[in-house]
Amino acid sequence: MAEPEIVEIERDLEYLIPEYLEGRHRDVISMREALTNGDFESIRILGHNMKGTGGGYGFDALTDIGGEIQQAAISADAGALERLAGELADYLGRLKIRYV
Amino acid sequence: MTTFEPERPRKVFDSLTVTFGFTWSLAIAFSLGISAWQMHRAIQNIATVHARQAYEKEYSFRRWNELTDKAFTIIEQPGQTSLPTSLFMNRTIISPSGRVISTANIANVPNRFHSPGRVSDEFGSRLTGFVPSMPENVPDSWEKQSLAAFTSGEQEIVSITSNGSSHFLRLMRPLTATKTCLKCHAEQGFRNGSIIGGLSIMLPMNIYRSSEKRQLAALSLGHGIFWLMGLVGIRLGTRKIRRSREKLELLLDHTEQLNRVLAEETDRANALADKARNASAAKSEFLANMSHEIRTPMNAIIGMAELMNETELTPRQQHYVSMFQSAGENLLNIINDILDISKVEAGHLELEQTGFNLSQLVVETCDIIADRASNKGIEFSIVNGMDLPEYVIGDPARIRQVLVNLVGNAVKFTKKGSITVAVEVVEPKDPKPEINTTDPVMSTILFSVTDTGIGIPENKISIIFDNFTQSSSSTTREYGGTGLGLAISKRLVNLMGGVISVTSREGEGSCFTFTVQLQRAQTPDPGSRSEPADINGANILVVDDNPANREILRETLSVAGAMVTEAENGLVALQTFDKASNMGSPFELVVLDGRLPDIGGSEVAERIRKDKLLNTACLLLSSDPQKEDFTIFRELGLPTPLVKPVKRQALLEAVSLALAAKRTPGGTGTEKRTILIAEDNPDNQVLITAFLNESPHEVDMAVNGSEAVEKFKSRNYDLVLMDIQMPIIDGYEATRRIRNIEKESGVARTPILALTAHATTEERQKCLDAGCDGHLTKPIKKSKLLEAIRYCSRPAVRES
Repeated sequence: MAEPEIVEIERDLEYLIPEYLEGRHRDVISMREALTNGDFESIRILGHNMKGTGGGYGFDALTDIGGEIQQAAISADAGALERLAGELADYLGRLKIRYV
Repeated sequence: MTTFEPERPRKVFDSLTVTFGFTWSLAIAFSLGISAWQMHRAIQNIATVHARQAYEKEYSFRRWNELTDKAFTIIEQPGQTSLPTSLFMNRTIISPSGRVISTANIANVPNRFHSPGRVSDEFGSRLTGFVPSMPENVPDSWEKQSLAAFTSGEQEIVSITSNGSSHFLRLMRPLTATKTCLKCHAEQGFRNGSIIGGLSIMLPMNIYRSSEKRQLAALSLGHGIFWLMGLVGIRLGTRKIRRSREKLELLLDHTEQLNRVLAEETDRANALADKARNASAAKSEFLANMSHEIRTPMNAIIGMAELMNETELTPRQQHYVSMFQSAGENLLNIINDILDISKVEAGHLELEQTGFNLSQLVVETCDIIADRASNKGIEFSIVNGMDLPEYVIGDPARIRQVLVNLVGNAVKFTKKGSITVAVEVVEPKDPKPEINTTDPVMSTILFSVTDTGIGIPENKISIIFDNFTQSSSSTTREYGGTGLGLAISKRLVNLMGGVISVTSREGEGSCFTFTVQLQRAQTPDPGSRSEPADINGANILVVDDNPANREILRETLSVAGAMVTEAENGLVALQTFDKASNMGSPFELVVLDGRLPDIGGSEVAERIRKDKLLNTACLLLSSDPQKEDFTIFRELGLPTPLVKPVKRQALLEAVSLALAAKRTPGGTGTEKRTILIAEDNPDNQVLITAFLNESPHEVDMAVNGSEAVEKFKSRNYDLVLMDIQMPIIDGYEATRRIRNIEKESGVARTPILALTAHATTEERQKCLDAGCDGHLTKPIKKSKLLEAIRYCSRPAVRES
């Protein structure tokens, strides 16, 4: 069993988190769909948005992954995107939130 | 000035005379012609009248004869006539002597009547007809033409004819057939009333012509005399005109010459003025360069001495260091005095206008010197007058300079007794014209420094404020000094709208007083209220092209615990500054040299302050700060530039105050602000809204650039957060449009912070170029957002 990723989030934002993470789970699916269609532009936007929002919610790792997705999409590197989709799914799976 | 009148060639008849003369002659000739013509016509008319009179006489005679039939004549040769003999027979009688006597025929009565007395053929009357019975009545060629004219209705023909040698006036009127006529002419087919012929008068024109000639001669003579008189008048008149014209030309020549001389003089004056201006500019530049060139090494000497003093030294070394420290300071004082007096005399000394605490200034100034007084056993006291304003606006450095001079002198020249420094308010008594006395907040402040020292000899009192003057040369030997202190003080006091004076008694002491005009301030200068901040841990960028200066600054600030980075010129400084900001560890303070090899310290400060979010403090150290430096720093809300060399303690204080001012936010963060956030990402929209849930701020959300511009138009915001990558129109364009709207409607600039994905220098510059005041990089953290709102919002002065 993979080690859980514990992230501390301000309690003020608790009500926003489930919906936000739901959106990221959808991103994994959207990414894979877009990959099969070769739609790198949609993936680039997805990565860009993830990069610009993750850290704000407290998920700095999402900002990092988002940045990498954006770069890989610009380079149309399907292999890397496949790997990053897996990485994202893995991160979301391991994520444990502690509200402070 | 000598002028030469050029010789003018004199003409007998100049063009003006010729023109007037010719016109005059033409007029006279015209008048003579007209008069002669009229005279000729008049004489001809008289002749015509005479001819008509002759005609009337002739005609009357004929009519009388016709009607009365009373004239008788002797018929010499009865068969002469072509008329029927029966006609003759009826009116003929034979006299007893056998002479044939007949009543006269009207046809030849006039001819017969005139012929006996006729002197010449040149005058006479003639009867002529279309069918003449008598040979003498046959018409000549003129009469034929006239008879022809009568048939077409003419009633009188008058004309002048000539026979080659003489002229005649001939007049002819038609004759109509009467009963008498028809007696003989009825057979020829004439009827009663029809034109049968004509009666003509021939008048010789000789008499008239000779009369006309005489009159013409008289007329010509008259005209000739008149013409000559006119010519003389014209000649005299034109001579007068010519002379006036010559005088005028001479006058114009003089004026032209004068103008030329004046223009030359003006050119020379301008050239001199240019020279003077250039000399003044050169002097000014020389002074600035001197200041820089002298103060830079002095800065190094004094700074290094201070640093060395901080190190482990043997007592001997310490003695040496303090010796050259003191010598350095003395040298600096002399240099400052010389530079100051040069600046004042060149008119280049600019006064600063800044708020300060008056009594605090006096106390702090005296503190420096009071130690020396107490070491000499002199009593030192400060007396503050009643109603002394706490805060005033003026030039504290220059007031301090004058006080240091006077109090320093007092300590120097007093061996025992006391020194009293008093400050009080006096109403403006003799206001300088440049001071606005109607301004209620202006005050005249009187400073006095009284000592019980050696005093000044009476004969020296009047010259004590002159340059390089001391009461005696022995004073210089005994007490030192350049003799410039009081001269500078006098000029500074005058510049500050006041006067300086002294009363003194040799051996008893002196009392120096001076006044300055200061503006009362209600509150202290915002910067002066800050509590000094801790330098420890502060991130400071030091910019100076002189390595020695950088070393002194680095050492001084590092010892105080600051993290110091160095840059050797303005561009490197800006690059270093940007890099640090992008790395997330921006500088809190930039200490700038005024003169950098590429761009000036003030400009670097301007560029650094452009990013309002960073609110970086800047401190300018200049060997010769210019007026613009003071203005720029005041406008940027930065501390007043310091003049180099800056002593360690003064530098640390200034750095500490600058940091304190930077760290004191523009507001407490609890005032309500109205904020427009342009952000297209829904996740960020809800996040920002959540961040500001608990805050007093009111947030408006726009989902693209176009909506942001529309919302901006509809209400006032204290701050706009502008995402750069947005649909429809992006953040750059939306910002540009907002700036245009502000410019067109003349409203104050609303702070705009860009929200960008990248933290590169280019990105940063692009945002600033578009009109943003700073930029935040995404993802947005709550602390950063709140800090941005606190620092960058427009001050909350509006009603919420």
